[in-house]
Amino acid sequence: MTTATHRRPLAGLCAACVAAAPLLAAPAMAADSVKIGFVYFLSGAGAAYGSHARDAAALMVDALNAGEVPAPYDTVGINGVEIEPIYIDEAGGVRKQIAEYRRLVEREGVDMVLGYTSSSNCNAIAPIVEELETLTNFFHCGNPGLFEEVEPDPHYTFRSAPMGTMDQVALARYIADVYPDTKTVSGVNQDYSWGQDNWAEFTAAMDALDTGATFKNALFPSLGAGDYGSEISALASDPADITFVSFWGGDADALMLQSAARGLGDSTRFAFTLGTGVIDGLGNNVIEGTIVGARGPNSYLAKETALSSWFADAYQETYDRYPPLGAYVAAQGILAIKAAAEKAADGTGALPETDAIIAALEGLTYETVNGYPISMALHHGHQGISDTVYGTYTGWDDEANAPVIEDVKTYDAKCVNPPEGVKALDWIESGFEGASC
Amino acid sequence: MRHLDPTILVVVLGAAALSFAQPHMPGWVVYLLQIAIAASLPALGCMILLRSGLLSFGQGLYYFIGAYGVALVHAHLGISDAFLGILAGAAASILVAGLVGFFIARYRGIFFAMLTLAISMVVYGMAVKMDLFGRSDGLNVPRLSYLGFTPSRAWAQTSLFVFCVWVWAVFGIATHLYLRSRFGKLLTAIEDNETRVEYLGWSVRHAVHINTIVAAVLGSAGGALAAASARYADPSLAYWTTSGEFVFIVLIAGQANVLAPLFGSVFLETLRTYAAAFFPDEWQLVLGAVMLAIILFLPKGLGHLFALAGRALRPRRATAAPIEEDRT
Amino acid sequence: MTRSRPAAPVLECRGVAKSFGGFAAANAIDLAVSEGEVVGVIGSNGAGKTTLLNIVSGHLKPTKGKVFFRGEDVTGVPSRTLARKGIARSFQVPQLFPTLSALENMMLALSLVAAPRKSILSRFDDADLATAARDALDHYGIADCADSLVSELPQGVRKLLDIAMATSAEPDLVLLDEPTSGVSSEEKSDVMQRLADRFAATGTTVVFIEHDMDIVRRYASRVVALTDGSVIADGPPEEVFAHATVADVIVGEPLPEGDA
Repeated sequence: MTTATHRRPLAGLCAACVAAAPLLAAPAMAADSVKIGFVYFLSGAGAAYGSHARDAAALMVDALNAGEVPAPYDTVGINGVEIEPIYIDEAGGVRKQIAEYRRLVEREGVDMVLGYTSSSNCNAIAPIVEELETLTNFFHCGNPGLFEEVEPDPHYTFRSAPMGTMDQVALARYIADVYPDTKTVSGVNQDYSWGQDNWAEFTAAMDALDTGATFKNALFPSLGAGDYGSEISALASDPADITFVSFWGGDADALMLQSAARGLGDSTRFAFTLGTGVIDGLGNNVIEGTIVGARGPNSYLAKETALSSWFADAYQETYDRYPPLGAYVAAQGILAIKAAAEKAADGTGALPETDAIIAALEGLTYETVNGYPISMALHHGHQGISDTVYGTYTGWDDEANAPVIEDVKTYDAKCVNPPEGVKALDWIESGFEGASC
Repeated sequence: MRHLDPTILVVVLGAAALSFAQPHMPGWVVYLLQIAIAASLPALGCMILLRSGLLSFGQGLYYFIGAYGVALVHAHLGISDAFLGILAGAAASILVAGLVGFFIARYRGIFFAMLTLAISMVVYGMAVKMDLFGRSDGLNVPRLSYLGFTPSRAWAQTSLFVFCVWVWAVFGIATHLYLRSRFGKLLTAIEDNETRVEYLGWSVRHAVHINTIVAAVLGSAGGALAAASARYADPSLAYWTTSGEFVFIVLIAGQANVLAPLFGSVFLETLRTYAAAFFPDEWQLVLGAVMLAIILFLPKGLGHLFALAGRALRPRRATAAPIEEDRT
Repeated sequence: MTRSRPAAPVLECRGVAKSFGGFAAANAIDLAVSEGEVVGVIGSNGAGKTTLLNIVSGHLKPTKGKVFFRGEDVTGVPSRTLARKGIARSFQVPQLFPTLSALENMMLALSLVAAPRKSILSRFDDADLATAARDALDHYGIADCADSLVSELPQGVRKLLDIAMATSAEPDLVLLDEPTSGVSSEEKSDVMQRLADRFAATGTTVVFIEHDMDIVRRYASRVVALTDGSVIADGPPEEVFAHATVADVIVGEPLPEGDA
């Protein structure tokens, strides 16, 4: 015991030295490239979207560096400067993510960071972004609270991804337009902030639209539960006309498969806000008649333009599959920065100062690979909005090897997003005051 | 001897050295050390419970309470003082562990481990539904002030780092004194022979109860430092994987001295950072493989846990081993 | 120390009974032990000797009957409380802390029961405590073994250490469960002599269970014989050993060495 007491203290000190040793060597700053940290879920449940996002980011980086992307993004890299990517896994919890973010900025010396799908990671990192003064674009998280409460006065923090609010409002409008006879609605959502918030926004939107629909079951199985036997029994014993689902990843696939096996599709119509992800996972096993969204007008809901066709073809060619929604979202995040940097630039060949890029990005409207431009319209130009699309999956086209999606309806960005200065839920509850449809 | 306890000397000198070294360290290393310091305190709590042969898989509960102590005192009382934040979490932890202790102090082995895990998971399950805790999105924590002194933005990180280092030093030295006291020896004796402890006039259950509360205070202090460093508190602090990490820290570092968990924690954070940097896709695999290798090839300090695992498989009565009856 | 009416015996059992399931291990036992007595309890296996000791020391709660310590009803009081009141016990199988040295075992025993004298939070590794522990070991003549790990000690020393730890609080009543069992026959009388000397010096009241009738004859001032959970004889050794049933059932039956 006594000898151990003598030995251990030194070990403690050494551990600190081990941590401190390699850090003193500062990384060499490459002036001839734009160093970007990309943070996507590469492991765990989130990899269902994150791996596609990383694939798309790699594709976009290569294509941009080669100058192969069509107009208006046909300059090399960002404003003629090649992109040097560093990929980081978003899995591992918030405290690890902050450590990774700091390492990207303070050790790797990245010029900017693009990424983050989890709203808890976005919330936790936003204050660190402002502290470390590094341009950061949250490409996917959708919680309105990020700018409403956590970082109400952002400077370095942007989110080009539209808020999740848009998905709920557009779905409510879609149900009112296409399925006006809906009398009852149930919900199955994962038991964490995303699922809870989405259900609250959706029910508020249905009420605000005066659809007259009443709500039956509101079920919240835990995240990653995998087995939904009891939820399906509850839904089947008292079926509603529409069942709202904001599941993502493997949970969404599992719920769809188990519901299909028990014939739940005959008694209720499912509405999956991330439905194209389920189509990607299950193909023709998806219950026909399911309403599908794609976290914006992505994937099968994209509009055909020169840029969107190029993206879909390039992705198909590289990864041998139609790009899932995660791929579109990742590409959108990169293009936001490229568009802003090139707008701010004074001739090509150098990356403009961060503050100049920020000034250009605030309020910017830029083209994206889904064919619908994004406008940085909210929270002083730091939050993006776009038009969005819903449709109903009616079957599988074997010839084209693609899903058939009918009754496709597009909603204007200002119809499904709150105006500047109004909190999302307040806006819904006010009856969409100021919306223009 | 009395004036030159090597552990206390190393802690004080180490804390002083780190305080002066801070300006020369990059920000990410400072943060990494802060998080390692924070995690080592609940691990230290695990270690003192292990002295009595009790494996806790619920230290995350007190990590959670400590973190939310800082977050809630700010959110609801508008207080951003670091000391008050720590005290609030510690007070709440004493209350919770005091109550929980009545229930769990009589259990041993796998039952103790599972009960601590279950209680912490119940709290996690409630927290992800409650707006008070920000649900799964958690709550943000402001920059802290220190007894009325609010450091400027440029000095905020330095102040917090020095605060973390010295909070650890105070708790580390206090725990060292606690473990080398008569009560500390009693804790070890409980694992050896509960019957004898009872017949020496001490209640094993009370001793375990007190030790649970001390471990809880350590856990909450760590939680407060974690929340202050990440400027964020969320329910995942009470999730079982967080508690499992504390057990793992003790597992890789052994439990000979209060500095062992700090060593283990710094090692684990460093390993995780480098694994994530060099293997962005397989970092968890690499982390697991390295840990496995440590257990296989560097089993120092691990023998005790293996003995525990063996004992956990054949649970025994809490208060005393039955005394042999006259055979008939 | 409890001060009560001088007339009250140190220990009194009134109609103490204990049954396990249907089996009556103790059957309405009446027993009063006065200050300074050294009572040997004899009986064949299963006669209820250890059950009686377990009840008196607070390890078991009697099914029926009452136990008084210096006139105070202590029935069902836990062993740790009795230990603080002044009832100590040793065990047939020594209850020690095997990962510690003999000295540390003794130090721990002293520091726990001597807690009022010095805070429980004061340093364990303390010179005064070590000296006191060495003295306590010396009283039983085992100070030479102080630095050995308990697991390495011979059985005789382990028995003595067990008793030394139990008596570290200078109790009024000492209960010894087969103090010489497992001790080699050469060591036996040595162990017993040391104990007798020690308790004679401190004037401690002793109740001990013993199978070796020679030991009982030599050291007990009074003998209680149990059969099937009942007292069949109680008195001075010569009287009890003259009792027909005792001679027949208990003494007449040769007992294997070291058996419980």
